[in-house]
Amino acid sequence: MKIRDFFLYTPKDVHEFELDEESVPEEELGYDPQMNEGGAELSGNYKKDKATLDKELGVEENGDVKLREFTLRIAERDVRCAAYFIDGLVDKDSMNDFVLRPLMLGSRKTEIRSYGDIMNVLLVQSEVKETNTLGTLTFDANYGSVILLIEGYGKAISIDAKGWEHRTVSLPETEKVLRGPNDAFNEQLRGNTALIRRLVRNKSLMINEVSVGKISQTPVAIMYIKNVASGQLVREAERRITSINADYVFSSAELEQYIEDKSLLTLPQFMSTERPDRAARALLSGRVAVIVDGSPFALIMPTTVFELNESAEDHYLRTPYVNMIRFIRMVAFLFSLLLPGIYVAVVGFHTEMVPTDMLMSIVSARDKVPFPTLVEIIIMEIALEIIREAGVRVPAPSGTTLSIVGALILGQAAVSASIVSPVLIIVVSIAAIGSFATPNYFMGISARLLRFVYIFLGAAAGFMGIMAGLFVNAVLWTSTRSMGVPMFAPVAPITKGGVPQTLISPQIWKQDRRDDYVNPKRKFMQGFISRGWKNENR
Amino acid sequence: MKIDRRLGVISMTLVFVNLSLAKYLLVLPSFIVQEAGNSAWIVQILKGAAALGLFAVLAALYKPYTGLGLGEVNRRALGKFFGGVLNVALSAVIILRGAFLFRTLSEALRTLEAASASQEFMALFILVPVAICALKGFNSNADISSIIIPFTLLSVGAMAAILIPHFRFANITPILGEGPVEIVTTAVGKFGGFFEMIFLFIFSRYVSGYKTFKRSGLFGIGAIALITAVFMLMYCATVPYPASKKFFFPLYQLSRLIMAGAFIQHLEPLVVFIWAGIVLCSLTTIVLGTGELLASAAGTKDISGFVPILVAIIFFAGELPQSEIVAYDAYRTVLNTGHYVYIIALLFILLMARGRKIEKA
Repeated sequence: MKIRDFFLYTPKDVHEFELDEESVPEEELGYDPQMNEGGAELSGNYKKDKATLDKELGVEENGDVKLREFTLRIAERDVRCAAYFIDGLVDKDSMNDFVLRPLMLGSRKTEIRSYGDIMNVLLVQSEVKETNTLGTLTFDANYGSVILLIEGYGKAISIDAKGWEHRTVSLPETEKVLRGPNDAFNEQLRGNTALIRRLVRNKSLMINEVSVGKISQTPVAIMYIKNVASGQLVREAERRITSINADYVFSSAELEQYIEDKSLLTLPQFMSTERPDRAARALLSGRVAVIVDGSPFALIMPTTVFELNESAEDHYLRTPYVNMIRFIRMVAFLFSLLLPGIYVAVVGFHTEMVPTDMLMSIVSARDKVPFPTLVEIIIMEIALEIIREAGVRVPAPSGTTLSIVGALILGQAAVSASIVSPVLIIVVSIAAIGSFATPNYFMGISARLLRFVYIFLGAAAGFMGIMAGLFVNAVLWTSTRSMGVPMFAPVAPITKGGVPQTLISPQIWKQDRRDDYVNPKRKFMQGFISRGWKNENR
Repeated sequence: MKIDRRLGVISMTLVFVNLSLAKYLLVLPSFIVQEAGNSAWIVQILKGAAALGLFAVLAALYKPYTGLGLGEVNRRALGKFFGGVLNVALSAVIILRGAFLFRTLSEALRTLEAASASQEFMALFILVPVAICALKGFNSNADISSIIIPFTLLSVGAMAAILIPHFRFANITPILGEGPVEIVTTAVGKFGGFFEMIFLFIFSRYVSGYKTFKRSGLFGIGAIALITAVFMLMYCATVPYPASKKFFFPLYQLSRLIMAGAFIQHLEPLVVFIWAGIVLCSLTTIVLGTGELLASAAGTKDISGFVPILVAIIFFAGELPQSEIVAYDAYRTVLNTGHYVYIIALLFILLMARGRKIEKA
């Protein structure tokens, strides 16, 4: 003991744990990045292969990995078999009835002469394949297949018996419509692709499946219509998705961030939808839809700013209604983006715009407020964002409490305490409602984020500040591409025939052209006269 | 449609329109009214007709070099050294116009909204966006023009519609204003109204072919002549002569006449959106055009290195006039005189290029 320690008590640091970097070789980590592209193979020796599969699947370590050993009768002799499956991923009924029962009992009732008969006679499941690639076997086992290893066979058999718990097809949460279909994607990839195929009953609908994530091996479906979508677009989507070098990707939201051009831009560069009809419509217009297993949203690519302002309902509304609603939505978006900034600019720089009587009323309302307008509006905006964020996470029973507190704080108490003026509450509320009226959730968030920038610009230089911000914003947005398509197409750059159809929706029978900026293989969606009954000869 | 980054007729026309429209919406109408009285709108039509003829001649001479860009044609026609010197000289003329345009806008802004703010502070809100857009390149500038020009035209059109009750036929009589001689002299002598056609030659390498180039020029000049003639007519019909000579910012004065009722008393602050949008767009094109010429002089195609320098030059050159009055006079002088030099130079270069049979594009 040192003399100093005698006088000064230093408590022993109990938090001695430090997370060090582990220098474990990658091959010992239990995965091989190349496992889906070949990798190790089974040797053909039952004992050795069983030991390998035991180790690869982690039979001893993993509680949910099950092994069932039994014998099978082939050519008058008993042959050892091992069935591997993951509890919870397979449908036990179908495994018992259509895999184990035929193998254990059927092989004794029916005369099995060769190994070939196992697949041809005994296994009645629809999806059965034989392989000796270890990577494929482990992937299949993790995706709801039963892996069957048979002594003397030389290969393993992968039998599809998927059957995990999942949500059924339910109502869309974020894209509700009044007159359209009301089914939404769920977390099951195959179910989701089927929902689309049910709408597009055509052999040209292609579903290219790849897996993403070195460890997670998440199945991803890249869907397109062969005779419509540009080959270049499909190849680019496949190239971007297959080039992702990450351990895991669980959802389309994560995938989106891996494949978008500009990650720091507030503008979403793909459209996400939970509606099969919307995805099908996008496919038919020459776009590509990407569905990630485990995610109830499909990514539509490419997309534009104008499409992000469209709602799923638009296609089910008559022309006059849809145009009016689109205009209102555009105004709502602009309000949500600019209104607080404009308010600050008017109060600070352009008071001559406001009629004298109204100005007097605003001034008298602000008379007791101790803060400058900028501080006042920032307080309100932050309070609103906090309430909105809390509202997303708050349990349903507490929702009412939150609304009461929010309304009281935002509405009454803040005004009574002279923290903010009543006019400002109206401005902030209109802006908030505007962001809710924006059909694309991420466009709404984008407006919320940029609103703060415009508030500061309005406070610094009035309308000039706001215009400078709009100019920079427009430069950044127009120079952004969604899978090679400018986000402001067909307005900037102007494309042939695209502008009128984008800004004002024509009658459904006049929407004969596909959007030219996605370079579709087929330019027209309808005949020149799509309403044949108008022709008197018919 | 194939999204080809070579511009089509509409995009290129809009770039040209944005360049010309900026000065017309700021100060130029008052200069023209001062010269030609209430027949300023006729002057615009005559100027447009003359400009169309001149452009047709220049475009025909330029036909073999459409894909090169003016800077490169200069270099090939005059040799690296003299071509480079000419490019630098032309850049100086253009950037000077840009500097005065910048100064005029910042003075207008100070008048309109922030008299207490310094000139340098307002410059920040003009030059930073210009630099960002210029760094994104010419295609981005063309895309922005596609948004800003329709917005500007719609706004001015709406303003014209609202002002219809203020129109007085007596204000534009006598129709020939200061007289036919004055009209023709102003139209021919003040040809600078279409100085911007030079940018069509500078950016010709971005255009998809000679036909597009020619059509862009013809449509652009025609559109500007028409728009500005209508604007002049609106101005002259609303503000009686000689009061119309006195106003520096005609658009602003027109907007002051609009009483929007109980909710918005005056609309004139909204003019800032029109001015700022069109001038930011125009200044970006000026920076990019100058950059193109300087890049040709330096034998490179990448102009991004020139952008910060050019923006700084615009700022410092714009600050040179001591007061706003001096700035307006300087701008007026630049607008009225520079164009002769360049048009003669352009004709000379193209004839020389034809004579020397330089390599075609």
